[in-house]
Order: sequence, then structure tokens, then C-alpha cells
Amino acid sequence: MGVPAFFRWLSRKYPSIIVNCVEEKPKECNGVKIPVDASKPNPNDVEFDNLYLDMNGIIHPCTHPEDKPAPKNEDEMMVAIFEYIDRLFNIVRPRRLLYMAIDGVAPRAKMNQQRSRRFRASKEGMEAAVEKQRVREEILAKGGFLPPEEIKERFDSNCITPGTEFMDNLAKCLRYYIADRLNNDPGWKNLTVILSDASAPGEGEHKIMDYIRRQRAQPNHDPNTHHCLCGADADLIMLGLATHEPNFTIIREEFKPNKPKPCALCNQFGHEVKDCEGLPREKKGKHDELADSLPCAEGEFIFLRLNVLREYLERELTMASLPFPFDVERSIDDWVFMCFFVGNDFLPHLPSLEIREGAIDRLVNIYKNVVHKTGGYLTESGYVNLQRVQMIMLAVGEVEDSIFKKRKDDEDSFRRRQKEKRKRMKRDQPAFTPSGILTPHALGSRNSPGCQVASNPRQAAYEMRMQRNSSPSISPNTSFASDGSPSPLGGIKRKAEDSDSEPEPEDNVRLWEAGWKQRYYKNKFDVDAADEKFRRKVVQSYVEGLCWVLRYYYQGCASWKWYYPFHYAPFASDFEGIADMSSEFEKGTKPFKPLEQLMGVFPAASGNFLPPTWRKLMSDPDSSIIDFYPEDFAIDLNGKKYAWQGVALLPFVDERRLRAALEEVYPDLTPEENRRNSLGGDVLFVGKLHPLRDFILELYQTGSTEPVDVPPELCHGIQGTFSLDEEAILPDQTVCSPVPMLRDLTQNTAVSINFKDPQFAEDYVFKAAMLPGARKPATVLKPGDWEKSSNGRQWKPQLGFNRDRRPVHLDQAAFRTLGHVTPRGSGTSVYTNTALPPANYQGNNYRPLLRGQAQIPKLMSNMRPQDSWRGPPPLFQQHRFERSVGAEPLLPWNRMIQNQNAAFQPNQYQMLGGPGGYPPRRDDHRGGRQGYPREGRKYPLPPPSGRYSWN
Amino acid sequence: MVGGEASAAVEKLVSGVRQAADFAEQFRSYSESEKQWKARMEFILRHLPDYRDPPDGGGRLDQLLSLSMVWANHLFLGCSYNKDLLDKVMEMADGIEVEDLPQFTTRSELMRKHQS
Repeated sequence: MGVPAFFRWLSRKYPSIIVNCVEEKPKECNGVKIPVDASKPNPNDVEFDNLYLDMNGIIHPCTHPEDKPAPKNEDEMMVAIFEYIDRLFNIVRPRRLLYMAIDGVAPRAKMNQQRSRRFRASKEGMEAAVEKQRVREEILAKGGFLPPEEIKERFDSNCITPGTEFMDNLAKCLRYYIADRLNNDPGWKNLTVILSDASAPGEGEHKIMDYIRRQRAQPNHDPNTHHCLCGADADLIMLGLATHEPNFTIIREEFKPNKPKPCALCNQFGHEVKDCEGLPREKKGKHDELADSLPCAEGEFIFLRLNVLREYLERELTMASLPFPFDVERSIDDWVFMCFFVGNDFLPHLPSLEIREGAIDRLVNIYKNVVHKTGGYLTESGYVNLQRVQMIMLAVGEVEDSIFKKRKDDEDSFRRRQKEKRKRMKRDQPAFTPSGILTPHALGSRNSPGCQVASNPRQAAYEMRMQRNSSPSISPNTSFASDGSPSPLGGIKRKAEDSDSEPEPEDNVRLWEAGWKQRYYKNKFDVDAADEKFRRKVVQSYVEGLCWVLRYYYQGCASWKWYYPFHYAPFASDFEGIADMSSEFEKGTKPFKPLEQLMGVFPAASGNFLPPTWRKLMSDPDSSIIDFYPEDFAIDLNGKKYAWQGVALLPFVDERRLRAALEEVYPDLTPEENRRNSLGGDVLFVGKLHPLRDFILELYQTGSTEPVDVPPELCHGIQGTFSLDEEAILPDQTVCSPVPMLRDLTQNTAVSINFKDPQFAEDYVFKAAMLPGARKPATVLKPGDWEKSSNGRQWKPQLGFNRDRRPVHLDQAAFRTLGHVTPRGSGTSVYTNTALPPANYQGNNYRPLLRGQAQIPKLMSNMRPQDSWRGPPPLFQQHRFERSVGAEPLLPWNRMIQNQNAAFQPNQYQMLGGPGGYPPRRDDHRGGRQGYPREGRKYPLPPPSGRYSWN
Repeated sequence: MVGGEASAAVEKLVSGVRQAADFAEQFRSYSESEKQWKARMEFILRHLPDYRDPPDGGGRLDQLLSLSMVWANHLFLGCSYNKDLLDKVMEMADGIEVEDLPQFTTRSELMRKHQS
């Protein structure tokens, strides 16, 4: 799924789903780092039960970060991963369960995407290395200086695929990490930890979903468990909705566009490899003490509250006078299904549906129109009603033509605007320069003779008017002619330049012109438009795909073998007669083994991760699968601008031939490789104080070989089966550290055991519904009928997790102190500083001028602007400010602070300015009444009566 | 597996093109269009006698299938392979007529275009 696009769209449309995380940072005292105590209450005003980590979202940024220099070796990578998990753990502070899932072998349906990513990554990595080498030589030849090339191998990110040594090593490191934290971290003492490493088949997030689904289906599950899932994929939003758990939150790193990247050669910021000059680093600060403060601080995390999204969706999807009873849960499932049309990892998206063009809104509208006629919902517990889907698709098909035309118009006008802009930028002078008294002058040249004050303004204005009238030909072109070249020639020249700088992507399909369907099939599938049979085949596969994907989200993997065998999708208008298509899948299919999958997704250039004879199959011209490994492949830009956005035309893997070829090289595997190639399972860990610990130890003592049921009463209703682990972590046995810089655990008290999810019959259907006993969380959005039902009370918007969050309050003395330490008259208010993360206050750079002010930064940390990046949330209409506890006089200051907390923070940008050092007030939303003037007043006036209602 | 069936079938195949086409049909991939399959089938059938599976297994037939795919991927998908391999399949395909070949831009070409 176009991840940034979907998320951006969602967070703009439904802003209240986002809550910024409050993160307590480890403090440093006399050079000793004091870790955060995660057993203390969660600073986010909410307590989570379970934290699930989709580990691949952590492994990638930790091993090849984009915004900081890459770690030097594998050990540093592991430590980076540990630190990242620690950070997340300290924010979320799960109280019952931590579930870590690394991607295992994926279903075949995902293989095409994985293949194309890895083939590209391999090429991009090599190109980057070549470029680096070239620039390095150039700099050295010019006598520049560069740090000597470290003897590190280029980190091939392709090794983050199940079956590689790297992943095996990672699993070992994580086992050590878990044991270490269970022994030493107070926040972990009552926790159950489950690790599902790369040897357990399934994508990470789907292993997590499978776990939740199976736990929900057994009677001991607590229906009010608060889940928190970490990962940046847009899929997670869909998956979270698909669980129908009422308390589900997603945590992810905030996406900040255009983060500066360090140069890969000299590790400095501010330029790219190709512009590197090998200059020495500038000293930061007087004694280089600021060297480590990177221009961009660590990424912040945000929460995404799915219960709020559910509120929004309920509002949007509720339909009156339906011929069948309305059920929110069912319509949310339909919404999830429709999002798949717009994009998912397993199918190419329909050509007419682009998320940037509001495709989901369009679908929802069509859905609401059509659902009256369909007689029911599109989906049920992950199964699709094709007849109803057909009605939706054909309704989309009707407008397809106009969508393409509009797209073309939009593109054209965009291009025109860009062209105009470039023209403007190219010209040295602006198109129109006022003359006379309005002639612009450089700042600071106040006394230069050119600057005159009009002695007679009226006269001057008159003269200017006349001047303009007399020379109507002053048009953009004049400045052109003035540079000496004849303007016609110049014009032609410019035209040529333009087409050079902005090559229009070649488009043979021209979806906006009549006959688009024929051209599309001809160009993309290489078939004639008359080939009805072929088109039908494409549609059949796509329909199967939609069914497979929905089943995958709601029930688990229906078939490990199924995949969509084309590079492109059909049109919505082709979905005719799909009602009778079969959507059954082959039963009892098995996933690939890890090394087999590596053969399926790696290019020959990444063959070093495979045993020699296996590797040979990828490059030997006589290999019976050599066709899977092209050295170069075509990219169809498909209307996009950059190679990475286009469709990589890679051949599909023939599973039969792959298996036949591998059969011959299987005997060459070493025992170690055989171990890596086998499918494993999940491992459960508990620490000294956990009630399950004695139960598990007894299992090891009796040495039972049979799987034993987990006693759910001992661990918050988790069910499943235990079986003994041969490589278990056991008390009083030293846990060796796989990372040289970390020490062994000699006094271990933690214990681990193999864990298997509860099993259900193959045809068991997991119900997509709220569980009985589940309590809906309190509503967050302003009720639609608030004005009528509230008796004139004002609506107080909720920004954090807790509606009754106590606002931060400073007393007078604190403000006096604050006034002393903060600079005045600089034009920025102290509150603009709150845009910086709290870390900036707690670092070494901060030197309080007076004693006893250390608490101020802490107070400030709660005042982080919530969602300052997204502008004012449209839903907030009015603000009600709560009176603080106690009876301090309500000074303007106090009110300001309460305002800050209750409502002003979304408008951070409006708080800038105000020469008095105080933020100007935001205009009251209520019509008619003016806010306070923005400038020139040191203290705001007391509010007019009736502005606040204190209650 | 296919090998055994194939060598048995290969004996019969000499009798008629029709039969051969039926035999080859099992190697057709789902996403192949009529035109693409016709060309590849010709490629396979032309070289089938040289690539029979030896009785002890060994997948000679699979090698032929692989070569046919190399050729088809090059023609219909724009993939490029090792030069020797490409020369080999082009030679093997010499004389097979394919009309109206699609045009492609490979990734390398695209990157070069972007740089210049």
C-alpha cells in the first residue's frame, strides 16, 4: 500500500486519531545514566496491556538508517535495535505481554513484491557504491582528505530476509536481550514475552494478527485488553480494525519529510555524496561539545487511536433507512475491503483508483449509494459476497472514463503551473518592478541617495499611473529583450531548454483518450482488445486476489501458494459477471522453507547469502532456473516520474521448476544450514516473579515430551500449548552474550519455553465482531448533536488519551522564575520552544541560571504542542477551560497556560510573534467576537464576560 | 514427475504437431497470452528432441523450459541476461517469427537517462 500516501490521507481526514507520545528520557547524573523506570505509571495517561512489535519496521531503520550514519558493524546494529525497543517499551509500558514478531517466510502472494524490492535494492546499493568510489577518487585526486575507508563490507539490506545468517544471529541476540531485561529491568518483572523469530512462517504483522485472533476466539481472553501495535505500515491500521477489539492503538515513528541525510562519504550533513568536497568538519560549539547534537533530533513517536478512527468511520458510514439492520462492525469491514482496491501488498491497484485523487472517498460514496440496492454488506468475517462487489465495481466503472480525463486535466494544469514557476525562477528580475518611490531597496541602505521619501504622495502616485499607461508593453517579455538577444530566438531557446529539464514521461496508453481500454491491454498485457478470454482471466485472478487478501486479514493465510500472476490490474468496468466466479483456494498448502524462499526473492547479486551450489543455480547458464534471475529488467514508469515508483517487470517464479532444481542441491546443505532452513515456532519467556515460571520449571524438571496446555489463569488468560525447548534459557544457567560489548548474564532467573497458539479446526471461522463483555471506550469526538444536548455547555476537545487529564499548572512564583530565565524581546515567545522535544531541555547544554528551576523543563515537557504539524483540527469549535484545583487567583498568566493545554496547542504557528514574549491569543471561533490583537500588548486583556463558562 | 511423462510423450510426439501442442500445453503459464505462448511453444517443440530427460532424471527438459523463458522474458518482458546466454537463446530461436514486439526501457537505461 502506498504507505505515506494512505497515512497522510487518513491523518488529514481524521485528525483526532493522532496523539503525540509523551516520552520520558533516561537522565544522566554525574556521567551515570539512570534508566527510565517503566514500572511507574505511563506518562501518556493510559495503561496498555499488550505491546506487539512488528520487528522489521525496527530492524530496517536500525541497520541502515537514512538520517544518521550507518552502524559500523553487526554488533552496533544489534545494540541499536535493543535501544530502539527500549525506547518503545518506555513509552508504551505494556503490563501483560510483549510480542515480538520478525517476518518469517511470506505467502507466495507476497513474493512478487519482495522480489521486486530486493532486485531493486541490490541495484541501488551497487550504484551507490560505484558513485561513492568515483567521488572518493575525485576528491583524493584533488588533494582532498577523507577518513580512510573503513574495512566494512557494504551492508546489503537484502540480508533482512528469513533464512540468512544475519536473521539467525538476530534471533539469538533478541533472546539474550529478552533474558537480560527480564532479569534487570523493573518494568519487565511481571511481563510475559513471546518472540516469533524469522524461522516461524508468516509476515510479522500477520503472525501478530493470528495470535490476537486465536486468543480472542478462546473463552479466557479478556475482551477489554488494551493492545498497542508498533509499526509504520498502513496495513496495520486495516489489521487493527479487522480485529474488532475495542481498545487498539498503533504506535509509529512520526514521518518527517525531507529529513537531512548524512553524506555517505564523510558522514556530515548538508550535502549529498555527489557534492562531497572532503572538507574538514566544522567545530560545533566552542570546544566541539555540540558535535553529537545532530541537526535533526531523534524521531518522535505518535499514537494512532483506532477507537477514534472507528468513531469517525461510524459517523461517516452510518446510513439511514437501510433495507437491512445497520451494523457498524460490518460496515467497517466493508470499508477495510474497499481500501484494498486502492492498494495493498499483494495486488496492483486499479488504474482508476488513486489515493491522492480521493479514491477512498469516492468508493465510500458509491458504496453508500449502492448498498441500498445490494441488500446487505459486501463482506462477512473475511468472506466476500461477489455479487455485491460487482455492483460496486461496475458503479466505479461508470465513472472511470471521467476519472482519467480529470487526471489528465489536473496533470496538465500542474505542469503548466510548474513551467510558469520555472520561468519566473529563471529570470533574473521579477516580471514587474515598481519604480519611483516604490523602487525596492536593499535592507540597511536607508541612507543611500536612491531612497527618497515622496514629498507629494498624490503626485507620485499619479506619475506612476501615467507611466504605466504610457508603456503598456511592459510585459514579462521586455526584460528578455533587454538582455540583448532578440526575443524570438530567445523564446525558441527557452522552449528547448524546458523540454530538456522536464522530460514528459512517454505514455502510449493515454487513458484520457477514446480507445484507452484497448491501448491499455495492448501495452500492458500485450494482447488484443478482442481477446475477451484473456481479459476474463485477468479479472478472475484479480477477484481471487481480493478474496485472498480479505481472508488473509480476517482468517489467516488461505493458501500459501496463491499469487496474482500479472503485473497490472484490470479496469473496474471489466468486473462484469464475477458473481459466479469461484473464490475457493487449494487447501493444505505449505509455506516455502526459508532457503527456498531466498532462492525465490534474491537476485544473483545477493547469492552470497546462499550455499555455493545453490548460488550456482542463479548464475550458471545451464541452470534449469536461470530465467528467474535476469541481470537487468525493464521498469514501466506507468505514469510516474522516478524509477522506484514504476512497475518492475520481473518474471514470475515457477514453483515446480524451483523445487525440482533445489532437490538436487539439498544434499549439499551443512547441518547448520539445515537448521537455518527448518521452520520453527514461537518462544515464550518469563522472569523471576511471573506466576507461570514455577509451572514451566516443573515441566522442565519432569521432562515431559507431550505438549502441555498453558494454564490461562496464570497469565492473563493467554491460551496455547507449551513444549520443551532444547535451547531454552533456564535459571542459574549463564546466558552468553552474542554481542562482544555486552556482558554475559551469569545470574539468570528467566526461563523460556516453546509456545504454540491455540489450534482450531481448518474450517473454523473467526467471527469479525465485538466480543460480549467488551466495553466501548469513551467517545472522543464531539457529538453531532452537542449543541442541542449540552444545555449550552462548551465542548472541550480531547487531545491525549485521557479526557480528564489535569492541565499543567504553574503558580505565580514559577512564572516569575520562568520570566527570569527566558530571554525577552527576541520576538519569539517562550512557548515556541515547546515545539522542541523535551530532550533539548534535559541535555547537557541546558544550564539553568538560577537554582531550583530544574522542574520547569519537566513541566514544559507535558506541553508539547499536540499535532502542531497538522494545523487546527476542524472539529474543535469551542473551548471550555477547566478551572484548576485550588483557589489561586486566575491571573491572565494562569489562563494562558490552561489555554495552552486545552486548546491552543494545535495552533502552534499562530503562537509565533508577539513582541512581548507572550503568545498572542488565537481568535475565538465563535462568530462575531473578535480575539485580541495579535501584537503590541504585553498582557492579554481579561476575557469579556461570558467567554468562558466555568463549571 | 514431468520428466517421466515427458520422455514417454516425446516418443509419441513425432506422430503429429497437434499432439505435440497438447503435450506442450502443460508448460504454458497462466499469464501467457496466446501470441506469447505460440512463440514459446515453437521454441520448445523445435528443441525438444535435444532436451529429452535422461532416464536417470537430471532435468534436461527443465533446462529447455528455462531457456525458453529466458528468450520469452527478453522479448516480452524486457529482461536482460548474461550476454552468452542471450546469444545462445537468440540462436536457438533463429527463424521463429514474432510480430509486433513490445518496447521496453530497462532499469539501467532509465537510470542513465536520468543522470544525463
